[in-house]
Amino acid sequence: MKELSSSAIVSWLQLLARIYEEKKDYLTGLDAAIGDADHGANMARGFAAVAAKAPQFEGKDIGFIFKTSAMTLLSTVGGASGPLYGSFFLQAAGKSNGKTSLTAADLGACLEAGVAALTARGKAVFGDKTMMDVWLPVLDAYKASAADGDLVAALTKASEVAKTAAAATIPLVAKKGRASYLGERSAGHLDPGAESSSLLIEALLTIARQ
Amino acid sequence: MVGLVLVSHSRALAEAVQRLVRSMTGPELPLAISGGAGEDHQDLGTDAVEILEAIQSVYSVDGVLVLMDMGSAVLSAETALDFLEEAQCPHIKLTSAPFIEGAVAAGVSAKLGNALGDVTAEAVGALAQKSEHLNEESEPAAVPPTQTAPVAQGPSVRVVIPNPQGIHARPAARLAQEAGKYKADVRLRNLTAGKGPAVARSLTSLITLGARQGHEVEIIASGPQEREALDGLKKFIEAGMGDSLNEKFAEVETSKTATSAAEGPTHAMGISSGIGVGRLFFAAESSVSIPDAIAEDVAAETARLHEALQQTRKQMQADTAALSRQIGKSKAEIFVAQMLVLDDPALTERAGQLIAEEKNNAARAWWQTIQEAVTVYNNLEDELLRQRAADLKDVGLAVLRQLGCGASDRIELPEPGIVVARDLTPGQVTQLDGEKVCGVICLEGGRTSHSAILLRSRGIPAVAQAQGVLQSVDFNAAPVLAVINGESGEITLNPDKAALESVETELAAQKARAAQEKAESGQPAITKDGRRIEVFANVGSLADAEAAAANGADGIGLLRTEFLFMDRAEAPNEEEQYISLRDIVRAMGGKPVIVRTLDAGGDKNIPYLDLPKEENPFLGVRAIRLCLRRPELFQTQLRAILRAALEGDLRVMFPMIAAESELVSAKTALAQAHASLAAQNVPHRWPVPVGMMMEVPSAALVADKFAAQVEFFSIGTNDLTQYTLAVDRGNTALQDLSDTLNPAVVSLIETIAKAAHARQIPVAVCGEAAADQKVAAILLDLGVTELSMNPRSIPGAKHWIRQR
Repeated sequence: MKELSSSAIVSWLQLLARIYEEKKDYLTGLDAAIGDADHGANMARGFAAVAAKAPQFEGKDIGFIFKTSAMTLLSTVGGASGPLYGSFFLQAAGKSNGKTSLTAADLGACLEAGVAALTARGKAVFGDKTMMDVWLPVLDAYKASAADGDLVAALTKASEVAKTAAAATIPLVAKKGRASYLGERSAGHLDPGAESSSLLIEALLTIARQ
Repeated sequence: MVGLVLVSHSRALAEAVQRLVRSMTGPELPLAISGGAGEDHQDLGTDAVEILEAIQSVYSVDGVLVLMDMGSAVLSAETALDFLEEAQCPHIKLTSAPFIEGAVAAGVSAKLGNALGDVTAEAVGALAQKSEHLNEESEPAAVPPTQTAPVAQGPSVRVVIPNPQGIHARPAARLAQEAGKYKADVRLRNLTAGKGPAVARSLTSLITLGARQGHEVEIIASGPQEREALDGLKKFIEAGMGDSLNEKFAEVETSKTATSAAEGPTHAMGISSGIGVGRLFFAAESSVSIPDAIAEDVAAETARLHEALQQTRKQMQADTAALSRQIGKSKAEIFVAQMLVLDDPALTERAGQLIAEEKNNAARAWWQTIQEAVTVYNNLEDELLRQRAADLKDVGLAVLRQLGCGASDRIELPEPGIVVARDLTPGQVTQLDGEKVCGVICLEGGRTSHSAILLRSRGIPAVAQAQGVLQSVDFNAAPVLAVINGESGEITLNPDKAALESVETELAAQKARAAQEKAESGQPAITKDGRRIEVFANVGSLADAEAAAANGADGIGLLRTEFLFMDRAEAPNEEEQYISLRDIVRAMGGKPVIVRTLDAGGDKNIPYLDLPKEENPFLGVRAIRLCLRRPELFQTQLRAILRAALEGDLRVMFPMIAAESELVSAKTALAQAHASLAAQNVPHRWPVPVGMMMEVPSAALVADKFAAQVEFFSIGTNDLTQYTLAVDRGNTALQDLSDTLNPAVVSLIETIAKAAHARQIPVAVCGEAAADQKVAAILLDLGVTELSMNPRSIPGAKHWIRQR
């Protein structure tokens, strides 16, 4: 598979809604340890709202789909992941306007814009024990392996990196967000935002492989 | 006014803080909240889209300050900014100020009309008071860290604060900046108030010193540059910390008498002359509650809106008629101009569109339309047009009331005082309680607004554009007393005893002059060259007649009989009219009473007369034209008039005579009334003197012909001007053309006066020009022998006539 079509993107978003619903308690549990115990519920609520918009996506370009998803996440997630994922998809929309399918390079542009938005919005750097600890290495890995145009291969690599990177947040001390209030006590826990980000990449790979 | 947006994870918290803020500011402050996530926003979380909407709902170029609780609230608020128009972004500030204290401080500051920067500074420093109260040594966390030493030590100097408003936000900010230039830890202590020490580099800390004009402050410095700091800061404070100190303030400073809170006067724009003294009260902006219901049936909802517009038009016509009796016709016609809003296709179409496309209910659609239009007006370059925004809002509210939304905007004061408002609508001005309102301060507004015209006609002292003057007033601290001068625009806040006394002396002198003029008013008004000028009253009710007698009127020059017909379901019968007229004639104790027969039509609609809707009502069946076409109506009135004439010196006057035949017919009708009374043996006076209004150019041009057939003329300058110049005097766009002293009008008045003199009949002026000293003086020179005016103007008029 060389490209991701509009309908593949919609399938991805719907898959995410299912995954976050299934993993709701798991993610919330992660958040309960070092945050305010709402990440699972927030992600499930936000992506359920996105999935509910699927009928509107019929025949629309990917830019529209991403933008609508972004606005939906902004207004329904509730926690910090709302503006973060919202900004991510909004900037990705800017790179996919008018497109009905994404090549490996197109997806790379979307990811790059999205990650830049995360950096600008969250102001977190690598090692702060946030979702950035996943997104920064994922972007590097994707870009490195997408150069030859193989989307599935690039996503496979990105997904592997994501899992490793998420797990690597466990020993870190949080520097941003609610977890940072715990200081040293935040060490020893998996960062829920890093985990949900990893799930997001993994789901995209699942769709790309179909 | 700067708007506030409160963003919290918790809807309940946002709402509660909103209540706290509102309890300090009232509903006028533009304040919106966003909080909670999920359905109904009952879960904890934030919503960038809702924040965006909240910002937009309170946005103006004055700016918006956004306070957030934490975490995602900050991120969501930042995200919301991404969606705003680029031009709006510089006017929006996200602040790290403490959520609750900051919101209250910012709300109060915004309400005072402060700029966004100052509102933000207040919010950021909002913990200072609490911190001081709890004797915390360290600075509030929100303030940038300063090098703090627990005890102030080192060399010191003393200085007296020269600024009229003391160390308030702006001078404090500058002082803090200045202090930061030196390598020294600088502290200030307020010796007069016993407060401090405060860290000089902290704005909020400086404010807690409460240093006012005349207070002595000690500067203490320690560090390598302690000497330079002491010298530099002393000079900086003495020079006013960047504020300009005018001579008056300097005087107070050098005399060192002012340790009180006396603050200096400043100027706004005088818009209605007179002096007002009293406590300041903020007028809450009208609260409007609009139903959320969706328009299920678009056609029905559209029809509902149109019905409401129609009803509002009717109501406004009735109000205008009633008002014209109170404040004079041309003033009341401001409301005629307002009525045009109801017919504005741009507004009705936009509202219709909102109903059809957005499924808004009629009230919501209409109010949004009005708010959009008000925003457009407010952003216009042209000052005159901006002032029309108040008219739009006025009419908008009137329509909402018809739609059943409780939208009262009446301003009530708890006790006598001065009303402070952003601006007043004309409707609000007419509803002001003259007993309690000693003056009006508008933060915005201007001299030419309709509200200003009405304030002048009501004699309420007022100033406008006072935002700058009131900016630094701390309304929370204590009741603020002020003196306003509606002539010069001067506002003196918290006047000291001497200032207050001088104002009271001036007011007493004015009162004494008025009392003196009133006492002399019973005497005839004779010019220095020996001409006696009769000064009559225009009267539209028994109360007016009593006021006329009390103010020394030489008689009633114009008794408007329309009042007998207003506010009722059917025409009054002969007996009712007779009794009302009789009472008025009696009230004048034998002085002349000139009764004008019914002057309905034109702008004066009387519903039960079923007047046909005309394209040009002022050129249609009105006044005498109507009466001649309704013999039963006319006969009833004429009979009542002849009967009442038994009680004193009553004279009859026919309005709007344009052709000789009309006068002949009117006189014939009067003779008929006499004949029928005589046939029925009903006591009445016959004959009575008959006169006519001179208000149509066709009559004025042949005044000599009419002079032979009547016993007096009365010139209605308002209509004469309108008909001569073809200028609708209700049309505000043509106000500059509507000039009684236009050469054509003057020439007609001269013609009328000459014809009257040739026949030796009196010629009066009963239009508003009669009360305008400048115009009336010219009228007297043209040969006018009598003036008829609002009863309250009579003592002053007689006074100036005697000076001539």
